[in-house]
Amino acid sequence: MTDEPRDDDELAPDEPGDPDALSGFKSAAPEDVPPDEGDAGEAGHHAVR
Amino acid sequence: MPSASGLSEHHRSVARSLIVQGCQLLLEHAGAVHYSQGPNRWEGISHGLLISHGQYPKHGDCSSTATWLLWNALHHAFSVRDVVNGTDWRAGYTGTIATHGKRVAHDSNIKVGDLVLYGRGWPYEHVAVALGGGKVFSHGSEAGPFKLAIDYRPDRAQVRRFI
Repeated sequence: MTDEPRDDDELAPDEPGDPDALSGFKSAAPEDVPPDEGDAGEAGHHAVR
Repeated sequence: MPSASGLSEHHRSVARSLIVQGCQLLLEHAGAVHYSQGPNRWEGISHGLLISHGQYPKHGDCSSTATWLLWNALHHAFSVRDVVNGTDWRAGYTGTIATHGKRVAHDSNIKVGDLVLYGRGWPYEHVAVALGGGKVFSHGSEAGPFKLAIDYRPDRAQVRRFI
């Protein structure tokens, strides 16, 4: 957290934190969510299109 | 201090609205949206699928889906260069997302469209899209995408802003 400038504060005054933008969609219950399978990683990064 | 995207406040608001619309589309059609780490995960961008036309990719993983949302909101809408992965909107993964944009240091400043990275250090393991209200949009498995609490998994590492 200290390796980069704290630049989000400068953006804050004209952009207050957002309320729930998808309040109409029910959040999934933790027990219904399978583990994330992870990202494709660098191999996927290079597998362009 | 310029925004991460260089867009005006109004355009950032429009971009965030597109992100919300895109997440809504994907959640509404979750049954047709499959999890893929193959090349077809980039079909949203390579096929030019537009949120504004009600279009969405049928295949994707966490990073490609997040990138597609931001491609719609930033590049298609406002011709912003690839500030998300730095690959001219051709590729990317959590490792490139983590080295672009601006870090959001405080949870109180998290905004719609910010990307939330999970995992123990670079290149991280998973990325989700902030929706506000302590929620994220996540496409991390075939069962998804889901709307989840931002700390639905215990290894949230950082939040980055691209809009």
